[in-house]
Amino acid sequence: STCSLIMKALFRRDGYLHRSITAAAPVAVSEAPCLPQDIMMEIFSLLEIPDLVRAGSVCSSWRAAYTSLCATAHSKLQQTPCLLYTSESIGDRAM
Amino acid sequence: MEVDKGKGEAEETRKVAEADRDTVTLKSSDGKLFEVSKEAAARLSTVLAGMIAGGSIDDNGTDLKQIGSEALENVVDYCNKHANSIPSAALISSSISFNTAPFKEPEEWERKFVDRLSHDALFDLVEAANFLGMERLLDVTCHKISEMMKGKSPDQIREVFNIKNDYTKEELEEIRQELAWAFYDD
Repeated sequence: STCSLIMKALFRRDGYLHRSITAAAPVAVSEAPCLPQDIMMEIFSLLEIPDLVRAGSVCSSWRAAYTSLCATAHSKLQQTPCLLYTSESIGDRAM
Repeated sequence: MEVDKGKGEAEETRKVAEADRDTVTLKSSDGKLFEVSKEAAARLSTVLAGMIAGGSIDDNGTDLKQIGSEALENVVDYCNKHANSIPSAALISSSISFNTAPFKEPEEWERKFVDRLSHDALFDLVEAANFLGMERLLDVTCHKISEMMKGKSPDQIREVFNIKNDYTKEELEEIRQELAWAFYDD
């Protein structure tokens, strides 16, 4: 849809913006292959929430993708806030 | 290369010849040529479908300057394998939009196809799929990358993807406190 294309274009722009900022900071040098933020969001959207949260704290550019994804999911899905969550990836230690 | 004189005529002949061919030739950024089934290319890539429909396919190799030969070889390999597998309706209708259409699990051959790739090749293939508008291939490659993150701590993920932690100690502590429940295994 046009809407999602616009959203993607925006995220892409933000992704580039973010990368240019991190590139300027010497501490942020990463040898990892860098994917555009909208693709990182696609990848993150396939993860269960505990995995998503951990992946979102790997580095600042992944965190930006995670934050955008959460914001999009909230505004687009309009789902009821999740009070209880269980998943296989949390295993026996889930509450 | 065609000269200007008689170009229109040459163009017409070329287009007619093209319509008869059942493959298209793609050229990578480093000048290597690859043949791919026209039907599969048009079915799997929105960008190639547009080029084929618009007649902007070059018989001598359609330039894809953004894609290296290794990634393009994988793209072509994927298209040809896909052409040989029986396309299910579910596959064709699958979409990457993360909250409209549910993701369809990769088929066995697709899983094998991405499993044999190195990290770099996989990431390059993701970008090539994205550039060419190949939704299914993008789905399959993104799925593979997400699988590589599952059940791992942030440190393990950094190790797998060779990512440097660019947070300060304070920032990291803040994130850990905020999301303590997700870090039980650290």
